[in-house]
Amino acid sequence: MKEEMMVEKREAGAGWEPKIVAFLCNWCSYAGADLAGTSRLQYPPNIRIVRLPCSGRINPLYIIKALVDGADGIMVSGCHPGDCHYLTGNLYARRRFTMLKRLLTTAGIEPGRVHFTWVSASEGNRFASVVEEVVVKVKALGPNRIREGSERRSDVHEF
Amino acid sequence: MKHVVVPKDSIKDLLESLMTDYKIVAPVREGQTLVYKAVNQVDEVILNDEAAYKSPKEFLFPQTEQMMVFSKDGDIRITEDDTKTILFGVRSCDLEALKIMTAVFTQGKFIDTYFEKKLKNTVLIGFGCQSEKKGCFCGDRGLNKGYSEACDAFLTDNGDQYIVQIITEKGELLFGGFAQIDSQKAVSCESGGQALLEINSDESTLFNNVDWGRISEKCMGCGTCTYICPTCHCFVFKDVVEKGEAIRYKCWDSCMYPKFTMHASGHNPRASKKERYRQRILHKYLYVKQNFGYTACTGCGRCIRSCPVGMNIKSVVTEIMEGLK
Amino acid sequence: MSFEKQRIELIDTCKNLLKEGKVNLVLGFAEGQAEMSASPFFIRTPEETDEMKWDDACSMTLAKYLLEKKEGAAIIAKPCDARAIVMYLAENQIERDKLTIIGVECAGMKGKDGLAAPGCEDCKLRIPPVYDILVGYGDGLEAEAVQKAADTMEAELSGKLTRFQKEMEKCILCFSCRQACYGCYCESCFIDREIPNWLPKELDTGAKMVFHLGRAMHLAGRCVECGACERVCPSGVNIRYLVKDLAEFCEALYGYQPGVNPEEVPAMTTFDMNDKEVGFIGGEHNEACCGS
Repeated sequence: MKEEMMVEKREAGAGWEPKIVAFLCNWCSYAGADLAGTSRLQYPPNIRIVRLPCSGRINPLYIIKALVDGADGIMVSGCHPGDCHYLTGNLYARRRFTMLKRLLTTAGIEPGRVHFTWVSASEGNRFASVVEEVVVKVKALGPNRIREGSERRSDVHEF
Repeated sequence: MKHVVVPKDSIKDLLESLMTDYKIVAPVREGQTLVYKAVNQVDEVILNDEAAYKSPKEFLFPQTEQMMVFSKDGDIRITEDDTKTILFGVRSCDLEALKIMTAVFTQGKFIDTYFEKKLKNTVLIGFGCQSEKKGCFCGDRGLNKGYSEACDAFLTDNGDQYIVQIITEKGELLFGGFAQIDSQKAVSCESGGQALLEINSDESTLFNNVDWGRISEKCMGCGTCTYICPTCHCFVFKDVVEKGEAIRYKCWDSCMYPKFTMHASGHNPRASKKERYRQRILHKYLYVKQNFGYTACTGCGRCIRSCPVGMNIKSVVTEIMEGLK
Repeated sequence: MSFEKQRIELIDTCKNLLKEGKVNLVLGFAEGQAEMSASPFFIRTPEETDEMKWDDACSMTLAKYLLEKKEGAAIIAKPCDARAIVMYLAENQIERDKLTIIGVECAGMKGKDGLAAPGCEDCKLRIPPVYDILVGYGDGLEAEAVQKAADTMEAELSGKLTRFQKEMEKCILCFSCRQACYGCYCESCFIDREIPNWLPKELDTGAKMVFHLGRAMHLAGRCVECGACERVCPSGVNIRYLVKDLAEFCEALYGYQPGVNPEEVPAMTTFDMNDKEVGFIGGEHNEACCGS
């Protein structure tokens, strides 16, 4: 029963909604998301936010693990370059993400699943539009196929 | 003992007919290498004189085995696996190794019921080697490469047919229907000679009078030898917590890894590769012998063939014994 | 002119170093066991040097042993060993003045099949980037250039994901690639951690993917393409293509090639205010990441 439900949920087509994990830095992007919320801006409810102190704190393994465990999309956002609360965290992170995306692309994960961007605390509008853009792109790609055709663990994580 | 003759063309038909009731595990070509794998089509099965790079131990002692699922409310579900398996084409070194595994897991006060059950549900079909491969030293370990009794039936290549020695009832069930031949005419079924390669010394001498640092110098601790070894059986339990439930796994461990025997306190009695390599050699050649009477190395030569830095257990053991003379 | 000539010169060099007491250990090669054609050799006396092997089968990387033998060791360094040494120096793992590097001009190593050994297929370096003593190959180096194996995987498989999945299926999670890799020297590897539990011990493809992608990410901009990971793998997994691609990307983007200059700061431990945002939303040069 459980198994059937799971399969149903993961099939593309009418009614399928992607699950997107968003890693946001505490100081800019999380506050930006907050502003979008308090301003009553509408954006798709597909993202699950994980708040971190800084985009420099986002271990690439978080993203790898989320994708392998079945997330359909990833969104990462931090302070604009130059605005980092810790001065340089996002600048190191920028190089890291650039490499990570290239790595994931080589391994066969569609570039449209993994998104990096900068959103400041005052950019509630930008946050909403970025989420919209990400959701449209991930929806177009359909469910995450990284483990398709391979043996699977009995349990798939629910986000 | 009963001997029957099976023509080579009918072996595939036999396996085909058994596929509905059994999971058949046999040597299969994967890329360049030969591995034991669950077979989907009998045509994949390869019975030649090549050696598989891994031992088939994983079908009785899986690399990761789910044991149970338990929850906070005290609900425990034991994972049951009733799959009937035929392990086909197992070499005599691996069969002798399973004898050691069986002793470790099913003798004494604590019995591994998972292993025991798998063993009960498994039919072991041996297959004789015609030549020794590079690195093999089963002869020095007192094994007959062409025959072992530690199985249910044993196949020997004889031109366009196989001569099958039926050893147990499980074997009779599979091969009973074939034409019987005179045992006199059948191939030799001796158990092999005396083991020449042994460590005959006590633990304290081996600890103190052998330069383990020098011996293990080359080793880079990759653990390949323990994963492909037919007798390595160290394991570790691991609980994975997921959504309010926890799953307990029994997984292979390896004495080559830095975390092997790491204590919760942070202390590790085998902190460097010197101690870990000593553990590997002595576990094989001393401890299992003390406990069960077997030396836990069958001379399959896999670790010698696969070692990326050319460690050679045979020459290491020889060197140790020479040094202690 | 040949490996043999180079071998004789190497033996002479090592003998002198040991005789004069300048070093107490030479890391070199000896005849291999069974199917392996060469194995590492720890030479401590001048007499032992005569057993030294040097030919086109000595593809192993010896640099990792330097982490254990930190003082008074000499190492026979091919360009890839030397690149690994440069990285150790850049990452402050060893001290240059306690080490003697016997550089060898390398004609490229061969695998069992007679084709280029893993790591040698695209290597253009002939002279190690750092050395104290250089043992040349002599004339005819170019003529000896090794034949590259055909990239069969690309031909057989369509799609990057299929290729990656196929490679993952072969892996048995024995971690020998990690142990052999010069760059994997963390005291506590992420996969050995319990909290967070990156790698549940289940042997499924997902666990293998986390391990290999995680490791590849840790080697981004650090891999010296020695090929050790591929050479030691008992089940023939080729995961080097991921890291190799990253290395090319890193060089194109940040102009950093690992293992060339010990004074240079590794690409991933620094930044530039004007770094290109490849693959970012609204970033420049998106096609560079997604196109190829």
